[in-house]
Amino acid sequence: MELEEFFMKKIAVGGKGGSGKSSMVALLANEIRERGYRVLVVDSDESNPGLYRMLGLDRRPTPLLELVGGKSRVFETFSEGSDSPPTLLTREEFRLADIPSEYIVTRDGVALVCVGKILQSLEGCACPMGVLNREFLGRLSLGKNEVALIDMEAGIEHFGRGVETSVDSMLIVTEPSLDSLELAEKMNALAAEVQMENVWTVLNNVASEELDLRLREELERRGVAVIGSIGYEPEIFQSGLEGRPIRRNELKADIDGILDKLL
Amino acid sequence: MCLATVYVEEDGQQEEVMRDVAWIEPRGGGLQMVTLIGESRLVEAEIKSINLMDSSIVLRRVMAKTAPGPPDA
Repeated sequence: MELEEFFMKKIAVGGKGGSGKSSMVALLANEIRERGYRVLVVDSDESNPGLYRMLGLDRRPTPLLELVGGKSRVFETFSEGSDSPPTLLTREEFRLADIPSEYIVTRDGVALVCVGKILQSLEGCACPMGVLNREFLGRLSLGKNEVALIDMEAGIEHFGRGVETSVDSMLIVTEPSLDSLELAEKMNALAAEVQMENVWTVLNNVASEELDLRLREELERRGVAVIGSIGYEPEIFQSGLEGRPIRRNELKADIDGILDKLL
Repeated sequence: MCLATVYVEEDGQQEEVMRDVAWIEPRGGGLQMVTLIGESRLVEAEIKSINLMDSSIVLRRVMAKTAPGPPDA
C-alpha cells in the first residue's frame, strides 16, 4: 500500500523536564516506522545524553554543531579572514540522503541526528544549538513517507529561539503534576503566538482512568487540546534505568490512538 | 538569544540586514558579518549601538570619503 503524503511531517515533542519527552519520542518513532514511514529523530536536548539508547542505536552521531566547526572553534574559522566553506546548512534545502554519514545514525528505518551537547562548565549558553536546530529543520525537505520527530529541550526557551517556526506541529508531553499542566497551558499560548495550529498535549504516566479524566478536564479548562494518553508502565522506567530501548507492546494501543489523529 | 540581529539605520528607519550573526569584524572600511551557519555579508557601515539584552546591533551607513584630487598644477 502506498502511503499518502500528509501535512504534519515535522513534529516537535516538548514539555516539562522529566515529563517523558524522550521516552515518548522513542515510542512514537517505533510505531511510526511500523506504519511504513522512515523516521528521523532530531535530538535537540543539549543536556540528556541517552536518546540513542532509547532508540536501540549503538552510538550518538557527531553533533551538527561540528558542521560549523564546533562551538569552541567556530570563531577561529570566522577570524581567518576568508568566507566559510559551504556546508549542508548553507544550502537553502536538503534531503535526508544529503546528511553526511557521520552526522546521522540509522537502524531499521529510524535515523538519529544530534544538534549538540553542553560539554563543559563556563562554555557559554546553548543559543547556537537552538539556531542550528531551527535552521536544520527549516531547510530539511522531507520526502513522501518521511517524518521528523524532534526531541526538544525541556521547558520553553526554544520558543525564544524560534525553533517552532520550522516545525508543523507540537506535542506537549504532560505528566500528572500542576507544574506540568501549567507549562502545557503556557506552551499552548506561546505556540499560538507563532501561529502554530497543530498543538496537542499527550498525557503521560497516567495510572488510572480516574486520573486520565481529571487531567483531561483540567487541560480542557485551560484551553489545551489532548490528543491521547499513555498509561503508567513500570517497564519504561526499568528500561530507562538500564539503558535499554524503549519499546512496549503494552502501550501500542495508546500510541496508535495518538498516531491515528496525528498522521 | 545571544546571536545578534543586525539592522542598518537610515533616515531614522531601521532595516534588518542579517539574523543569527555570530561574528563581526572590520574589513575595508565596512563590517564583515558571518552567521552561525557560515553565511557572510560585507556591509559598508559602522556600529551605532549594541544591545546585549535583546541581541540587536544597529549600524549606520559610512559616508563615502571623497578621493583626494590631483595636486594643483
